[in-house]
Amino acid sequence: MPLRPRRNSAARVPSVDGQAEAWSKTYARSVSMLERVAERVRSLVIRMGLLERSVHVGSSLSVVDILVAIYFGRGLRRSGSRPTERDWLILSKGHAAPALYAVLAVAGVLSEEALYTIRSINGLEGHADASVEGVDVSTGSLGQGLSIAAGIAYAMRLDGTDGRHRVFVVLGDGELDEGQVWEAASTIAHLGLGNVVAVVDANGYQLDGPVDEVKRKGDLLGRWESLGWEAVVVDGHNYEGLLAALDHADSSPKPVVVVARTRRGKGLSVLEASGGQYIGEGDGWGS
Amino acid sequence: MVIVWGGLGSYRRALGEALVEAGKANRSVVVLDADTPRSTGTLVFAEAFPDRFFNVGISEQDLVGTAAGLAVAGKIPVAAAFAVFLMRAWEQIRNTVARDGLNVKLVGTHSGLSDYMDGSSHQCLEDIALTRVLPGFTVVAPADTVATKKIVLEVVLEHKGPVYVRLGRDNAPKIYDSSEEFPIGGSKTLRDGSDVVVFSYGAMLGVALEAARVLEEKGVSIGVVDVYTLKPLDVDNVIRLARRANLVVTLEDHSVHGGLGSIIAETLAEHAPRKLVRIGVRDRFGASSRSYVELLEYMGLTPDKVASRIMEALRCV
Repeated sequence: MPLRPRRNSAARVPSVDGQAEAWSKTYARSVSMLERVAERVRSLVIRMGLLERSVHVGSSLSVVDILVAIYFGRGLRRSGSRPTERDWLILSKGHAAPALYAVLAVAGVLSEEALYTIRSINGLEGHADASVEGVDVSTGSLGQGLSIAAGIAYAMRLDGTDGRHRVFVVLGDGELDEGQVWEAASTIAHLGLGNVVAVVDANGYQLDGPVDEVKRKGDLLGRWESLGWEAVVVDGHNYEGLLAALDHADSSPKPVVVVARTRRGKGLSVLEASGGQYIGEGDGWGS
Repeated sequence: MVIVWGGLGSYRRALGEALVEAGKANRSVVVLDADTPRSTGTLVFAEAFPDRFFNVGISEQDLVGTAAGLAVAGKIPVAAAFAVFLMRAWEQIRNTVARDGLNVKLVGTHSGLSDYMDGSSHQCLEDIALTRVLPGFTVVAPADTVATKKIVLEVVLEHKGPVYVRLGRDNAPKIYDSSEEFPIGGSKTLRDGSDVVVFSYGAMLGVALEAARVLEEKGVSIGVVDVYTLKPLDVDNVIRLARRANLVVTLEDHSVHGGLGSIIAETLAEHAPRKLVRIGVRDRFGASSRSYVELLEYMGLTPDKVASRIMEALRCV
């Protein structure tokens, strides 16, 4: 499958943006191509999970289509060399780093070999790490991405680039337990940072079980709307819906949250059936 | 040198003035607060540069995260809050600011015993311990208003990387002339002495100098050092002075566990073992009081009490 464009050897930030933008120009709106890209990303995630059993495969597979839709469907755009003259993507659910790393590998930013160093000394960090080319911000501790996005979006406003550029934040639905998410959601709405786009990967699970059994999440749309966000819900594995939602977010003056209903382990039948996180049964203990 | 201990100068006023100056010098400076601009002193910046200031509300974790985002996007964010509430976001400071080495300037005001009336919930005696443990962090604690202005300007405009600035409220002694400079990583030997050397910082530096004056009258040769950079420590100066003294003392309005008491103990144990007396707050919280001096008295941190502790220790050396 000729899905790996040549590696761009330019500096970290330009290479990511450049690749993703080039890809979006080539493949945008070609749903069948996005699906093929996603299939490749999933196969890489599963290989990582087979190689290192502590990889969060279930959470990574649920978010693949969201990341592919942003990176390759909508594309991350760039209009200049300053950090406020580009789009940003923050994987606030940093445990899904394998999906992000795999997307970066398909984009040619990382090598496939690099993926297989995951969770090893001098290899890829287990959670999203900014020292890895193409990762914008280090995450791994939940609930922090949206605040970081607020800061970036405010900087864009100061530089007058907020009309051109977006800050995407991908969160988990379990992550919504974190109070900081709502601190940041209020800040963003209050400051009118309409160029922030939050995507909730609503796969229905968190570490200890189904999200509403662990702690009720309430009205997933209403919670955001009451603060001043525009909330839309889509099937997180359907590219027409995801791209339409991202399109809408691009034109909306309000911050938009896309609640993407997904399946944990999407694409791997055993995990889809169990809602599990890891390949293999393990010893019954969590990570 | 005129020493006034026990509170006179306003750290927060000095902070505000320094931030306005920094804001004039560099348009990238952005100041954030968590609903306390009238308390921390950031209000004057907010009035001077309304576009480059915002209040995130009562949400310190969001304060730190938003500052991180501004730094990622090339700005120079200064996030100010009561020190104890800023520490509420310690994990955000660790995982986002420190781990990515972001150019975020965190300012904790009302630290130590400076917020005497508000009591133990508001008195931060742990912030140095919590910040100095973070890889790549610089930790500074100016002693008076001159030092506050100079050090804030230095860390905001010149220094690259994450910094924690520890400030009090309105309890600053008067120590320095406006010509004094404070390079990051340095310390200042304010008095020389061969019997005792006292390492201190922040508001307690005024107490240390006054205690030294009292002891000098009793014939004790005593040195006093301002360790305004707690991290990275001016190790060479500390070792050199400690080697010349019979007794080493640390004095701080912070827990001796993890504060300068620990810093000097660790340094001496590795490089120049000496008899050490750590004066500060020992494994307890603060308390409400009607005046700053009354609280220092209660905690055993007035010049007379400090001088007695040192005299006692000298008899045992």
